[in-house]
Amino acid sequence: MRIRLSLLGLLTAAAASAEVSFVKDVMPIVNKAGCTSGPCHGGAKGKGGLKLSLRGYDPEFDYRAFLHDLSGRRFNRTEPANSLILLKPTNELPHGGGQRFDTDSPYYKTMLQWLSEGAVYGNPVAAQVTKLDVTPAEIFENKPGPTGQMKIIANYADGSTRDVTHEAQYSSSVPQTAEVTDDGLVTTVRKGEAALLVRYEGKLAVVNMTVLSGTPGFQWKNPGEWNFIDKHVNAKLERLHLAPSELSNDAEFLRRVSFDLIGVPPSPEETRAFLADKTETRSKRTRKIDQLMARPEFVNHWVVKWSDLLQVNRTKLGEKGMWAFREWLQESLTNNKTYDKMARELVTAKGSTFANPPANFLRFTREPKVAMETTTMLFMGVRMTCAQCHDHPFEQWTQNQYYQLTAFFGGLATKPGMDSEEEIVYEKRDDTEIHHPKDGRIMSAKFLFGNEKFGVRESELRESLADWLTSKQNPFFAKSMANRMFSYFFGHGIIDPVDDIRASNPPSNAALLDALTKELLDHNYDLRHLIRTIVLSRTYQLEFRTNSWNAGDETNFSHAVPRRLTAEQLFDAIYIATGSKVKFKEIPVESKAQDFPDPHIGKGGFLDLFGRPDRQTSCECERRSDVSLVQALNLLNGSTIADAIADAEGRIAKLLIKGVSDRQLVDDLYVAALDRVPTGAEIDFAQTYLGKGNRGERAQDLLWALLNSNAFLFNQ
Amino acid sequence: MKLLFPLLIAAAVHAAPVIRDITPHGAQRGKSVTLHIKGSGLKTGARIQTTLPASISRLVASADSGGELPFLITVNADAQVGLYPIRVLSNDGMSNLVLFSVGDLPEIEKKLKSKEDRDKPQVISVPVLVNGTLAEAEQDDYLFSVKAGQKLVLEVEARRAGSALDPMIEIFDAAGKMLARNNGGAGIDPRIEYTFTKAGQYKLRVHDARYSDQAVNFYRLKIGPYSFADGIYPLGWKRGDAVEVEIAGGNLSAPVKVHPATTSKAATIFVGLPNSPSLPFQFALSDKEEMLESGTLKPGAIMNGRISKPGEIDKYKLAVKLGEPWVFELTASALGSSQLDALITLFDEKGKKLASRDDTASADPAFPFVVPAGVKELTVAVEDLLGRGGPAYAYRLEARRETADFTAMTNAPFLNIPAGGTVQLPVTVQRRGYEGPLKIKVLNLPKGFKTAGGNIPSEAAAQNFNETNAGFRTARGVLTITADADVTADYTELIVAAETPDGMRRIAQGVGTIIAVRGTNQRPFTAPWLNLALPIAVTKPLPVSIAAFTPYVRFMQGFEYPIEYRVKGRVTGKVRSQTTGAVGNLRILDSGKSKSPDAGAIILNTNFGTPVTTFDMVLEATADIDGVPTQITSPAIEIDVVPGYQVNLESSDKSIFKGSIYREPTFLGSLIRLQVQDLPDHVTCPTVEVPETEKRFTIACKADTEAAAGAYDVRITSAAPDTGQRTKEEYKIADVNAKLIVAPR
Repeated sequence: MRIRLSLLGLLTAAAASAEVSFVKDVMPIVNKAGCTSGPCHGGAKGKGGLKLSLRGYDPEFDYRAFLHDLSGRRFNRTEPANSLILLKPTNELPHGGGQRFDTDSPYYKTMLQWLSEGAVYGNPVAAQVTKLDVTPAEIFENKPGPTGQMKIIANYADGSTRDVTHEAQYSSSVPQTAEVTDDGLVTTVRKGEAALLVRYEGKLAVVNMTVLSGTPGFQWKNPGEWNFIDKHVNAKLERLHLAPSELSNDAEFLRRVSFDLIGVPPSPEETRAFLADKTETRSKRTRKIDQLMARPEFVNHWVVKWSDLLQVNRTKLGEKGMWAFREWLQESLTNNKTYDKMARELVTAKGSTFANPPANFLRFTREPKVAMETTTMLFMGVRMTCAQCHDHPFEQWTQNQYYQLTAFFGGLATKPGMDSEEEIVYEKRDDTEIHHPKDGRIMSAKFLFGNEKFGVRESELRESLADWLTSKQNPFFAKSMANRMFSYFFGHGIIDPVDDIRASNPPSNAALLDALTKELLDHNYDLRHLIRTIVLSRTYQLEFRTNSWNAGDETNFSHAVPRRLTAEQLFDAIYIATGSKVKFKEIPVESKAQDFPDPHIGKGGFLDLFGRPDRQTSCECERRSDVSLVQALNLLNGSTIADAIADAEGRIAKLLIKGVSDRQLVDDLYVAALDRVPTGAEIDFAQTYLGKGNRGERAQDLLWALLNSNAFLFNQ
Repeated sequence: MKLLFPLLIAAAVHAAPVIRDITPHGAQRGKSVTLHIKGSGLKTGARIQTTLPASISRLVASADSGGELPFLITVNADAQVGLYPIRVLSNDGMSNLVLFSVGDLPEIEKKLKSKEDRDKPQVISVPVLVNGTLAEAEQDDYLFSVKAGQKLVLEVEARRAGSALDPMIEIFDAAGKMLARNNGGAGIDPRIEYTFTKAGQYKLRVHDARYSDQAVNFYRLKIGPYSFADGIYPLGWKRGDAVEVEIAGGNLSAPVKVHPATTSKAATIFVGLPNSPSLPFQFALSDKEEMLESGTLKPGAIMNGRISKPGEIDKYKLAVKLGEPWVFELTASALGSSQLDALITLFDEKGKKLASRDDTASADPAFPFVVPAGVKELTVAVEDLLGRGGPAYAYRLEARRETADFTAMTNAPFLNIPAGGTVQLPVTVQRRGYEGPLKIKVLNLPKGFKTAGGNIPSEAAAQNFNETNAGFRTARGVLTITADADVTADYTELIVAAETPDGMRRIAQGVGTIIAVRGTNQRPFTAPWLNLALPIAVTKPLPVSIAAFTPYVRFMQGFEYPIEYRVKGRVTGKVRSQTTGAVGNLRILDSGKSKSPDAGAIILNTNFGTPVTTFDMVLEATADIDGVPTQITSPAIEIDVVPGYQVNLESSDKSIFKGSIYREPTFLGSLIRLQVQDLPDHVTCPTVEVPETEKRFTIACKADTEAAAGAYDVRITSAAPDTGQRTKEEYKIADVNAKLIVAPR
């Protein structure tokens, strides 16, 4: 149901039930009062001697804490009103957390009634919340300003319902767009989109909210659809009154698509040929995309991305293991191994980390819990880490599920091999059980969902897991990769961060993500096809310049977003522009930075400064794309650019020895550095500058200036 | 490009010959090549010492050869394909050992390229063997032509032949697409069999798998349509007995059967595929009974089995008795002829798992087992840990009744001993149930040589064992060998052994050669399969020596002892000391008293927690001899740490114990208190205090009428309440075991 906020009135709380129980009546109050939050008693060590489960995920534990800890001193059975449980939150006794509610409040009365009636725990099955009905289900406003009240009805397992509007907890994903109070009163602040999250007793509901600018005069002009991506993006843009930017020019497109597909800029010859080609734009670009994807650099570029995710790093894998793993990636991508096959090979790998390189995945994860967490994060975009210690606060995953999923890796073991640094990944015969940390019970292997469809084969646990993981029925596997891939071309995912998919982090364009996911599934996990589809879209080829209607848009793909070149891209671009050669040990001569197998090569230098990850985690966040003062100083004064420009065998030296004219020199340097020909004004300025002093040094100055420009440093 | 053999030689001696490289590293059988030996100390007149089946003639080196020695080598036409050791002997000693490979393909050399054609591949014709090297991250490309449908084997010999390289080979088509890649089809060396569907030119690339820069960086690339196998069965047999060996797998359409001669005295011989240039397989020879896979293990015999197909589990029965100690030992991957990653599991008659062991420390599994109650028959199951199987998954399994054992290995491939000088021989023992002290000995020490040291303290005293393979700890000892000043000796092989005090002896296996492999955590290449003992030679005397004043030191735990030494000649830097056995609660201090460069002292500092044990110390220093830093070493000093006193029980007359007490001269304690412990009921023994002035003691025990007659094991404990030192704790020594007899009334 899509409702305007202004149509809603203030809703009232439901009447208290006749019989008060802990699970159904008291826990919601404890949670709402903030007692179970991380900074209070829900923290790892609790507060003031009282330890509660984080966000009340374990009511049984909390009940014991209230009634049995401290020898039951928190509950005064003869005078319930003098129980610490009431005296503290009302601040009648000094309370570090201050007053949470007063003695006149309904919360106080409910809790007093509960204590007076003997502090009954209640029926946890009947009190289980099965669903939240949220009104409105979606919010759309034509302009900022309106406010309105949400209404939340909890549905219980016993069939009863209750208005929990005041007990539910609320948050806004973008408070700058929409604010929400503790009681569910929503205020629209400015144009944009936000997700309002409603939590109540382990259940979560999301209300998507859209606020238009209210500026009159918007008229949708369909820019055309080159494939289904454009259709879904345009639909969203039209709805949000966002006008897409113009199509990028050929030079911008070539530079962008080259960096995005093969990791390096086009050569000057390639640039000139592409710009001179008079073929119709879309056909020309399609041909270029296919040419780029057929080049070995395409594989090398994507090997870097996979290597980041799979922590290809000699400190974890040993030198040879690292090389073997990288070469397996290279072979897999060269042969366009499908995504599901790659995932299966990684998750089920056993044997030598040298002879069977995917086994390195389990060498670096090593331990069952880490293997499980890495697997879900990599291949489902789901972060399970929190559930190790408690039920996931923002998701449906429970602590039980954490250990049930970990049980698939219970037999995982490694041991040294015959060769130096070789390890053998194998399945243990003994001690394979995974125990729950709370009560030590053995946790049987169980999928997060779909257990009725996918059987667990006890003798082939990891194979069973791979079946489930890579199944087309798994709603996370294809979706997470479609989202991840899309993010590589737009700078952010439809769900972002891409490796944190959860109900409380909804997609900015669900239809688009669904369509991309379907495309990946329909083409049997062919990642090359998905990549090609993305870059063939008109949306991808939009320019970065914005218009008055999309200037503030950061999430709807109405224009390209300039992205700082990655460390490797920047490094290679410098050496391609300057014509200098890279010189590093332990790699073949003339290797590009994207060919470096791991962060050991050039450690501590330029690449690390510009955010090359150490590959210590599988989180996309480890690769930094920030811009810092130290980076700027390095570009301006550091030896990388300065030495490359002045290389005796570099571009400038060769051009000068060749005796090219100033006009040609300027032209060549612009094409080499910025992948475009200079404008007339740029030519005039540069020629004038060259003519006023030492030509060689001034040519170096010109190239230095170009390499320090945003046009060079950013992929735009 | 400079090729260097590392000097991983325990006692490299100044001026002794050193081989840094040879070219070529092999030859086709029946052909002649000029072998160039490069290194230092290679003087004219030096000769080759080798088992290579070839005629060898000295050639005259050219004037600008830089000291390299040329030899004309004609390999016998019937020589077995394989690896043969080569070293140089001269009056200055012996060189390190390198391996020379005999092959069966026409051989060429990799062409050295100019900078301009660095990127141009070398064109070769198959079949061929290319002798090449890889410097740093070099990639060598070779172009070769094939017919449509031609099947070729492409293989590299490198690490197996003593190179530090770990090569990778890659095949590319004319468009640059990689068709195949391999890094370990032949053990650690690569091998690919590839069928080229289209005629044309293809490229083979060779590079180091880690793009590392190795000092020993040669490779031998073989390309041809030849046969190769994956494994043999059985892996070994009894010396002198006839055996049929099946060579199978690889690209063989059917197994090939051969009958190797088993008369060699060596622990291993080689069994190769006839008419194939592939390197042969190691085949073990034992002096035990050998059996082929059958249902029952025989104690002390070796069962030769094979996991023939994936998932197969071989099971053997073994009759056992309660409390029997057994050792189960399997040999497979260590021989290099099997790919089995073995897992042994023991079950009782009801199928209950009793023990399980894989090769967790990267060697083949071997573990002790004591039979528990209620078990009369074991089932011993052997399988591959990864569930694999096939022709290359053979093994040798032995079950033997044993309580205590050990193995020994020398850590130096050879020794050059200066006349009148001393060198160290490090030996590693692997304890297999035996935890007591060991002594390293040379069993055939020639006249004119002396040894010293060689003590490996008992496990309780040592701290340097590792726990990676429970029950199999390693310990290290050092024996020093000193040559008389006038001794002369050519090449001699010493037989080194480790021995327990009661005479159990194990011959130390020789390491063959040691080639360092650069990189993180890289194990060196060794060749124990050369079955060399310890080769030694005598070299010219050194102008510098170091020696302690005494070869033997005895002192009481809790005391300090200065070991004084004298240096003849000049050394650079300080005199260093090393102890073997790493005894606990022992500190070694520099006395700091002597300012003379010719003499000094090192102080051994102990406390009452220092174990009573015997260990060795050697003194080392570096001397500059003709501009070459040379390590000199002293003969080992044997150090006995003894208790402050000893209780000697001379006799026990039923219930009376008589004996004496020996006090070390440095022991300052006054009286010593003796008590009898573990007494049976109704028997009492008085506490006896032996004053400082007394030596003898008598303890007369009394039995009540209710005491049961019989012989009882008791302990006589002793302590000195006053040690004469600052500590207020009693000083105790180990208990003395005795027998108390209560006579019937």
